[in-house]
Amino acid sequence: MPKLKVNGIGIDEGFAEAFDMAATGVVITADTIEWARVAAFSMTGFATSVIACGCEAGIERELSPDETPDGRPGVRVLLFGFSPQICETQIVTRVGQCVLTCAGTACFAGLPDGTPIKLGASLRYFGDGHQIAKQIAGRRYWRVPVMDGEFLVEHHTFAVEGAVGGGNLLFLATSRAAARAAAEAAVAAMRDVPDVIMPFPGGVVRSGSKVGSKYKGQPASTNDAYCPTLKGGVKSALDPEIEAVLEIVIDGLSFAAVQEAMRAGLHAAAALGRESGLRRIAAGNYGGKLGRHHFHLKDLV
Amino acid sequence: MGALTFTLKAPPTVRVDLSPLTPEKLAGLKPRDLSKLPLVAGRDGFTVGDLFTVRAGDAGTIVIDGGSGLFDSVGAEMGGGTIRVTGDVGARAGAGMRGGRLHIEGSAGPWLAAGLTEGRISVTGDAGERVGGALPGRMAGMAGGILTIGGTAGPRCGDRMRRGLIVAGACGHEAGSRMVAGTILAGRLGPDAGVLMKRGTLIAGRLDGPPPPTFVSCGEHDLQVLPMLAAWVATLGLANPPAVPRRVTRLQGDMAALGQGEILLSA
Repeated sequence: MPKLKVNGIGIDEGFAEAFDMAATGVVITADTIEWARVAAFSMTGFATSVIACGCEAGIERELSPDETPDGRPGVRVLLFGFSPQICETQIVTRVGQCVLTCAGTACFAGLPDGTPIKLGASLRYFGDGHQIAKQIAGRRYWRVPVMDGEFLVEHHTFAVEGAVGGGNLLFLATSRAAARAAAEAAVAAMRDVPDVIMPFPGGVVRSGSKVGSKYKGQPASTNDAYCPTLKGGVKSALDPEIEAVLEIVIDGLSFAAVQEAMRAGLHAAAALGRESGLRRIAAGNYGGKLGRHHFHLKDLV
Repeated sequence: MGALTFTLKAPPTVRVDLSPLTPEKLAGLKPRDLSKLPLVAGRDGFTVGDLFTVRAGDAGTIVIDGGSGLFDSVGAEMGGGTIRVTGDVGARAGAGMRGGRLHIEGSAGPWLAAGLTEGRISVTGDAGERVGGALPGRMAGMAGGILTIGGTAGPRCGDRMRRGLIVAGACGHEAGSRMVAGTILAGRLGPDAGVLMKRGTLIAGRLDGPPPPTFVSCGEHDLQVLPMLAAWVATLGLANPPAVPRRVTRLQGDMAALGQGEILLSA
């Protein structure tokens, strides 16, 4: 059991190891917040991990009408990839298939500056010659005719390098329900932190992975050290009483944002106390050699 | 340091080209040299000192105190800084302007803001024909920037315009003629608006006369872009800006040209 404790919950000595990423973002607005959410859920659904999705994306926060360019309710989506070029390909494909197609939406740049990357600049061609460019207050927008009126989309959004992907926390608990409750509490707290997303379903991942596999061509495989059903048979990281582990992965626009999210999540989960079934909070790393950013849990306490 | 001020001694009797009086051209000049600057005017021409009393100041901010409809090319080709004119100006004010601010507290003649590419021109009174248009022999009219006219713009406002925004209380006949792109917002448009326009947008509360025969009605719509345009126009600080309608009748045309332009009329 770790020596460090918060509210009776053990906090590991370890650290989360995170990587340099590029990031971009969009603001999606719609006639109602529900439809803005629908578009954002669609475009960020299959964007949990760069391993097979090409990028990681999620809803950063919801925006009130006075925070959006067109005065309608909206959401801000952040998308992380290994380079600005990948971010551009991914954002154009995803907005094209999931936002352009979604009833009543409009789409705007979601970062204030950085390297301009194409958004409406590519999507305008859907207009087949009927698209109209409009410059408003120094920014360029495209009005693309669609069946419910016009899809308004900004010409560019921006990409930044120096974003951080892969911050994480692991919640070790005596039951699956307890692990889930801890993860839910942590995700709820992290959603209040600006400039971060938790790209996995509901913000939570249950299939933590290790690098490599016994099978050829399988780049990642299950993290057996944290699988409770294997704890007798492999070199396990789990105490006998642990029956379930859930992880939260955090991508953010800066080291500070990810660290703040991890701090908020750690304390929110620990606040549930030992009676909740939560026993330990840990973090995943690869020995510290792969990622430049190390988030030590002791710094978060 | 205050503004570099040129105070009119007596109204001119011949047309005077004031294009030498821009912040870039006057930067670093001493008041004595300023007074000796030649101005092209009438048959003989004269100097700045013949027309104006010069008060030294920062050449980045020029005030021409006292205008005249005979002052041509005020602020033409200027690339930055500010010129303020208290009074009227003649033809080609701000023509070919590339940046900065030109503020006219009075009325302007024809070809105001012709070929403007960047910067902002405001006129509190009326303006002549082909404002924001193309100078004779030029292919392109206004290609960027913002032109605001408190009163009425003359005929063919925005002729061959290709980018930028014109806001006017009203426009004369054939506004947006041969327009390539850009936006004109007016309280009212004169007859034959948009004649031969290829692309671009004319927005108005109403149109004098029947819709042009070569424009086709596309029905009434709430366009998402209009509230954004309204919010932008509201930031321009105009005394009495024309309203940007929320719900519009969209007339597409000119079908005698490319036909990708539009007239949006308050529905």
